[in-house]
Amino acid sequence: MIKLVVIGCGAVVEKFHLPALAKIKTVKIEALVDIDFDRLKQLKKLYKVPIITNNYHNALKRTDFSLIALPNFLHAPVAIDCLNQGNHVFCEKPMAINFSEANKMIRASIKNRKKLAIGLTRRQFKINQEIKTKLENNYFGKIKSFKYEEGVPFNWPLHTLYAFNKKQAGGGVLIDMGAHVIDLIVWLFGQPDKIEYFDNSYGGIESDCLINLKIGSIKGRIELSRSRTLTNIFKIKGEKKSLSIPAADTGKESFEDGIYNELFKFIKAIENNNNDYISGQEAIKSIKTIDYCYRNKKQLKEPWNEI
Amino acid sequence: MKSKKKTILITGSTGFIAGRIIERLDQINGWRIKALAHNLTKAVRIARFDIEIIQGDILDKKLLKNITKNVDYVIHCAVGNTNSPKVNHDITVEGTRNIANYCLKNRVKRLIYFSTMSVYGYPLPDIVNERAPYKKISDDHYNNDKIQAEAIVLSKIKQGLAAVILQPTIVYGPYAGSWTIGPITELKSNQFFLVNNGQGLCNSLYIDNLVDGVILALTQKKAIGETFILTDGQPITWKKFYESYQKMIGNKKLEGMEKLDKYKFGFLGKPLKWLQNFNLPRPKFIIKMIKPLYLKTQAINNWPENRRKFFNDKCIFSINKARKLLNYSPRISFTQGMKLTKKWLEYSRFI
Repeated sequence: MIKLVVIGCGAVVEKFHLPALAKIKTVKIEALVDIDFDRLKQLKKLYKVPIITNNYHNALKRTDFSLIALPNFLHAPVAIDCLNQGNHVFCEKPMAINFSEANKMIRASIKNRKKLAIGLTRRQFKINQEIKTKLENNYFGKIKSFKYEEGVPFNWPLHTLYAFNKKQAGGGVLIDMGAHVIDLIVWLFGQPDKIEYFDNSYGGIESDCLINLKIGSIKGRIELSRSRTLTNIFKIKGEKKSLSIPAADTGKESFEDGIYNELFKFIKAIENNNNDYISGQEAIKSIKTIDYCYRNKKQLKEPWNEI
Repeated sequence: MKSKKKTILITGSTGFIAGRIIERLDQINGWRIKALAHNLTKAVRIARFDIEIIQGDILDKKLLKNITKNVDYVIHCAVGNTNSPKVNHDITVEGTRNIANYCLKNRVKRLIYFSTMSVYGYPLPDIVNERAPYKKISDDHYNNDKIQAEAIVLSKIKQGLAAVILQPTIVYGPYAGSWTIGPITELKSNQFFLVNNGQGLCNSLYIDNLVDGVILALTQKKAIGETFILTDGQPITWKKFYESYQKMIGNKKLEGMEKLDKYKFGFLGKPLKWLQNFNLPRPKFIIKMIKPLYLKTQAINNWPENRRKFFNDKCIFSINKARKLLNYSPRISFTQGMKLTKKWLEYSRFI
């Protein structure tokens, strides 16, 4: 039985991760860590967890595996600490707030010979795996372009300011929604050769961004928004065939299925010592792109302001 | 070294007017902006700036006491816009009392209070200026609350508070709910009709003209203790206002309310609604025929009498006082304002 500590028990963990973990027989939730003790008491009762604490160090010696769902800026330092203390780590997306921190996480994983997985759920869905297979089998012919748009007005019920704090969140829509989208694009088409990035932040965090990229001969355009309802369509144009599907489509599966699958695979990988999970080495590819975008940002034009 | 920047606190900071004030102040060096936000989910627009967002409630006296300390200026935009008249009253009236109290106690250099043209009620005279009497409209909580809130600010001015009261009219432009997104939504669903062929007058105010007025109210000495009506300076007909939006969505001509009234379409609304109670077979072609008529009759039935009166009014709101004391001169014409609004509507995918 693998013993687990969940570090950070916010809304996402409560809604998705804990119910998924409760279904996996070979894992035991040994400890829950959060600063909100009332919340921990409720979850302890619900999932019959022995330890609740606001200090994750209290739980590391009694566990094999840490699930990290903390504010973005804590992903790297806590993951590195857990890896150094001998725990395998499953870290929610984004892997880290920049490339350098993500690299340090990988080095800690290699040094301690512990596994590091990143929660990039979209790769888990069959609908995306089928696109990947079709691309590998040249089903579309030579790919000419793709266009990805995802955006709805922000509706996540925030209770703290962390998501709007640049230092803590690392950025806005790009590092949040974009962590999934860029990972999907890089996984499907490869690492971009040329990136042009625009966003609408003025020293704070962006609500909208636009990325024009080139991956080999493929032209790509990604538009993400927290302020507007976009088409929410993902289009791939190939020489032989084209595809148009809803962006963030999970097909016949639910988001809960995706979370369950990624956790199940990682727990199996720990048990069987295999590599069938999304590793830090895989996830850093998209972090590299996100990091490049932020460092080479151009101001998104807002023509209604040109007065 | 002590920063030379002036500190400004903005309440109701996630609203569309405060959003634009923050954008404009951010462009002008010299302001340190604090933004009080009640609902963080709506804060994506202002979070784009390097400002201090404070999560909290305008009714939280302890918080207000603290956040108005060491603040030079306050712009009070918070207003109740929930579905509960009681909650709205608390936010609009008691919220204003709280902020005015602590601005006075903490010796804030200037409070800009956002009132509204609605305080003048109706029927309106041919010309309204700041000396016109306020009229309470029964059942109009917004009008009632704003009259009360303004009275509170005036009483604090008498006690020594350096406050300026602004009364904007029909504020439209990027992000505007009532007079930009609202009309577009109504027009797209054929739910808007011209009253009296749209010959009533619209005292429009483009958002950037309003923000110019706010900046003048913050900086002009003569502004203190005064009330100012702000408009674009030249009223237009409602026909022109709505036709500008209608052209953007490429619809046909606007329909007149009276013509539809004449054909008694309104009369059909109730029987059609009543028929909905029965699980009758509804062949697609009948639904196709009846649905537009049904929606139209519903829309007409839902138009309150007050709204018809509002669109029929031909009153001109005067900005002579703002021109004289604030040096206010609207920079952006209605045509320019609509051009800019169109660009935003396109970007935001409303059109």
